[in-house]
This record gives sequence, C-alpha cells and structure tokens, in this order.
Amino acid sequence: MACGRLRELALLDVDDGLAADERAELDAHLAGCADCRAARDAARRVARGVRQIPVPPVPLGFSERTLQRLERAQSVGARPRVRLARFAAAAALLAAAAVFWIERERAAAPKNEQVAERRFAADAENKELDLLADGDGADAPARKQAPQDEEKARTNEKGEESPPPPGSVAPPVTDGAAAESAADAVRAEGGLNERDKNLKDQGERSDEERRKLGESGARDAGGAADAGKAGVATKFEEQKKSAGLDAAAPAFDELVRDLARGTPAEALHKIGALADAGRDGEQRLEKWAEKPAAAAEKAKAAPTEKAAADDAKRSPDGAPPPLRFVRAHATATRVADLIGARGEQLARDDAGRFVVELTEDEAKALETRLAAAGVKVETVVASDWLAALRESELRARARAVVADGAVRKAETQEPKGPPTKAPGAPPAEPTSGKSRGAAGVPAKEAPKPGAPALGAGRRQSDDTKPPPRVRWFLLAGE
Amino acid sequence: MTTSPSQGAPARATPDPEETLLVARARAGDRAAFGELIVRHQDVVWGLAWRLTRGKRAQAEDLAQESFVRALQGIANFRGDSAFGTWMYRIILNLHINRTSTLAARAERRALPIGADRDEDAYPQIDPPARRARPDEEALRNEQLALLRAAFDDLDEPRRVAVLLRDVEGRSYEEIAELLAIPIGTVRSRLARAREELSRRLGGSGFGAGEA
Repeated sequence: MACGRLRELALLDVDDGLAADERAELDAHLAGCADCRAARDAARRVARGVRQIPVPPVPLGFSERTLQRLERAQSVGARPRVRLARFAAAAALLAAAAVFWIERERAAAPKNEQVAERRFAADAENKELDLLADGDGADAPARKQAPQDEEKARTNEKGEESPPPPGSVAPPVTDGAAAESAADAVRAEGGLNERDKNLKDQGERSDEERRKLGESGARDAGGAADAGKAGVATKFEEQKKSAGLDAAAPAFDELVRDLARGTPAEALHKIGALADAGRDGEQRLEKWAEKPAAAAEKAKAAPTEKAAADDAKRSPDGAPPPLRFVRAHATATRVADLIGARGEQLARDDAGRFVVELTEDEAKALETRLAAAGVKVETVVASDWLAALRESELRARARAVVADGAVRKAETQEPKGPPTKAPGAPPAEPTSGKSRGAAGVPAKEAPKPGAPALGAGRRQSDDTKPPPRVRWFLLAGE
Repeated sequence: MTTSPSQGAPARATPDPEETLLVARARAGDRAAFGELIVRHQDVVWGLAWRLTRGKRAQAEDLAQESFVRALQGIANFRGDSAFGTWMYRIILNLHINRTSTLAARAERRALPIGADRDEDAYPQIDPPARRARPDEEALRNEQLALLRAAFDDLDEPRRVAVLLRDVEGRSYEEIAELLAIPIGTVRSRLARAREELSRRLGGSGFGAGEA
C-alpha cells in the first residue's frame, strides 16, 4: 500500500472530517485510487453503523439510585470530617487538661516553694541549735525531747526561771570549780532556753506564715484554676473552629459550661472520663455532630401548616408547590382504582408513580380514603435531593408521556362543567407550576356519587384566593 | 499545515443561560439545582456509560452514578470554561479510563469470546428503520449491526473511545483531544486505524452495502 498518509485521509473523510486543503489533496488522489475510495466508503458505512447501535433508555429507578448514592457519598464525605472533629475534640480535651494542670501547678508552685524554704530554714536552725547544744555537752539529749523543749519555751515566755523538770538530773555541786561549771551550765541552759524561745517564736511565725501563705496559695491556685477553665474554654473555641465544629457549638458550649461551673477536680474528672472512655467520647461527639442534622431533619418534616405557609409564600412567584411523598402499600393498579375511580386529578408517570396536585384538605381526605380502603399509607421523608430530582424528573417524564399521548387519565364522569379535551387529544403542554397538574394533566374530574368532592374546596375558592396546594407523589408498592 | 475541521460533528450546544444559572446555583450548594442538572444530563451520561462499558448494564449504571457523584464533589471547582455537559464527559471518561487499565481490559477481552461478557438482556432491539423494511431486510440489518457491535466492542480501548466520541457522540477532533488529553494527530490516527479495523472485520459481511 503506497498511499500512506492519503489512505489515512481517506479513512478520516467522514462527516466532513477533513480540512479544505486535505480534502483537495484527497480528491485528487481518489480520482486514481480505487482502494482508497473503497476504504473511504467503508469508513463512512462503519461510522454510520456505529451511530446506529442502539442504547437502551435510562433504566427505571436510575435517578433514585443515583440520589441514594449521592446521599451516601455525601455522608461518607462527611465522615472524615466527623472523625477529624472527634480527633480534634479529643486533642482539645487533652490539651485543655494539660493547660489546666500546667496553669494550676505554675500558680501553686512559688508559694509552695516559699513555705518549703522557710521550713527548711527552720529545720536547719533547729539542727544548728542542736549542734550548739551538743557542743555545750550538757543535757542536750534530754533537750531533744520535744515536750521538754516546749515546756522550756513556755517557761521562758513567762520570764521565770524554770525549775528543773521532774525527772531531770541537776548537776551535783561538788566543789567551787564544779559549782562554777554548774553555774555556767545553768547559764548556758538559760541561753539555750532563750534561743529555744526565739526558735519557738520563729516556728510559730512560720506556722502563721505558712497558714497565711496556704490561704494565699489556695486563692492563687483558685485563680489559676479559673485561668485554667478560661484556657479550656478558649482552647475549645479554637479547636471547634479549626475542626469546623461550629455546627455543634451548643453541645461544646454545654461541655465548656460544665467544666467552668464545676470544681477543678470535677472538670478534670470529666475530661479524664472523656479522654479515657474514648468510645463514650466518640459517641457523645457523634451525637453533638448529629444534633444539627437531626434538627434539620426535624425541620424538613415540616408540619402541614408550615408547608401551607411555604406554599402560600412561594406560589405568587409561580414556584412549584411543596411536595409530599406518600407511599401506599398496595399495587399500583389498586391504588389507581382507588384514586382514579373517585375522580382525582390524576396522572401517572411512566415510572408508575402517581402525581396528584391537591389542596391540603384534599390530601388529607385522600389519605383517609386510602386508609379506609385498607391501604396502609405512610409519609415518606424526602430529602431535598429526592424532592428536587423527582420533581424535575417527573416533569420531564410527564412531558414525554404527554407527547406520546400515553398519559393515563382517570375515567371522566363529569356530566357537565368546564369543557374537557376530546379523547385522544394531547393535553396542553404544562406551563408554570401552579396552573397545571403535576404531570401536565389539567382536566378536572367529578367525583363519584358518594365520594367526597375532593376538588370542591378548590373550585369554591377559585373566586377568591386559591388554597395552597401540594403535590402529592404517591409511590405505590407492596 | 492543516486546519482541523470543527464542522462535521453535530453542533455542540451553545451555552444555555438556564443551565449556566443552574450550574451557578449548584456551585453555591443548591441541591435542587444539581438535581436538575442530573435530570438534564442523565440520558447522555447513561448512553456514554453504557457504550463505554460495552453494554454491561450494571457497570454502566455504576459508572454513570459515580460520575454524578464526582461531579457533585467537584462542582465547586467547576469554573465554567466549558459546558457542563463537556465537563461531565471529561469526568466519565477519566473515570472509565482510570477504571479500566489497558492490560486488564485486554486480558479480559482475550479470555472471553466476543460478546460473552455482554449483558444481552440489556441490549435493546434494533430500532426499525423509518421505512418499513421487509422481514429479510430487517433481519439482515440486525445481523450486520450485531456484527458491527461485536467488532466495535472488541476494538482496543483507545481506538474504541476515539470512535465513540467522534462517530457516536459527534465531538470534534479538538474536543476529543482535550477530553483525552492527547494531541489531535493522535486522535486522527486512532480514528483512522479504528475505522480501518472495523471495515476489515466487516468486509465479508457486506455491511452497509448499498447505503453509501
């Protein structure tokens, strides 16, 4: 095959796949090359054939499964955040505990040191005196006995010379030198007593100072504890922000308040309990994180009044009315019979879901009717996703169904009233939200005799202000 | 030397103001807007996923759903330089390419007879042509399309994707090059080789004879 690049051009000559200069070059070549002409024709057939390979329609339930996956993905995506929050909170607790301890120890340490120094000094002086007494060589061992010391000190305080204590042995006076020596000893003892007195005073002062210092230290320690608590709160705030836990602020604030309210020991106990019992801590944190979500869920399951209020608020803008998802535990056929036979304004999309646009009262009446027929009905909590997607999807599908003329209408038994479309005529293309049925079926149908006139309320109030309507998506299934 | 033609492919949708608004809302976290975008694009995404996965329904659905998940996760970073649909294309293609390592895909295809891994139930009946064909004509056409489908599915992945994007999805060379992050010359080369291979495999079947 000598055509080379021109063969490639021939294969690309599909759907105007060549530039003008390439085309001119190829045309000149094709005029004399049957192989390349055949290749080009085959390429065109192949390209056309590939385009004709059919693709099945989007499977039923695809959007719902996609929604579920999106929800799952979002919750999974949120999990690392929760984990991070847990980690951050645990770190915050530990950091707070550390800060608390450090602050307290720092506040208490100087006072304790002073007391200890004074004690040490007093002890040292005592020892010095003992040594001095030992050096005098008299009755030092006896003086070492504390009761005796105290007694002597008491005596010195009174300024009286104390008699020898009972049981103490006075030095025997033998001769003049000995008497002199004894007198010296007595003088020495008097000096010692004086020293003892001073020491006692000093000791008492020390005790007093110690007491005062203790009180002051306790006050300071209390201040440090307060500072520690403030540190805890600050740390929590910082960690909360960094972990993106603002949403769980109330719960954190509660903990911080607990910590601040309680004694340091209680606070530490709580912190320790949370830090040690990691599992409990995680659960608590998870609950904190879930609180806002739970509140949002609660808000989502809005009461009827709120839905009506929302509807009234949104309707003037032509926005779609609020949605209500109801699951009926019966086959689609049975539900269709139950609803359709009673002349509801009804359409069914090609996924088999019933779409009914009703007033609040009508919705309640319909629910009651289904329940009375033995069909269990439950409200389906629909997320924003679900609501948005179902509505969009239903709108799109309803359009398609309408276009195909395949809308399933309820049997009309209305003898008179507003003119209805001729059988088989395609319903009008849906316009904006409030003026049409959810599936583009504007026909109103009379209820069967005996059946509550579900549309009556709406018709009566058409002259004044239309009551708020909700779209009722009835999901049938056993 | 040459200017790549951008014509030939079906016209790409011009930026739709409504869609631009939806994208902006979705970027701001509006779930309803993203839901609307899903509805708008699910047919295209599904079709592409179905073709990329050679008609394996479960894989196609998984690919399509995952693409939407990725889109949601990345919507905040979507600058709007391209249309949302093109962006979705890029997501689904990247996802598919990442998932199917070339070697694994080849090994899988060679271990199985052609079409053995295909979910036959998922394949719809061939649409009847506009003109009511005679039964023998219709049968022949269906047979030829089945052959083409088998040959198409058996192409090397890069060539198959190139044909898919150009002949089925109608993307221009430039778009394909951008989507696949390859030079335009490579796109053209892959296309030419793929068409040549398909023509060769269908040569004896008289495929499309009389239609050209």
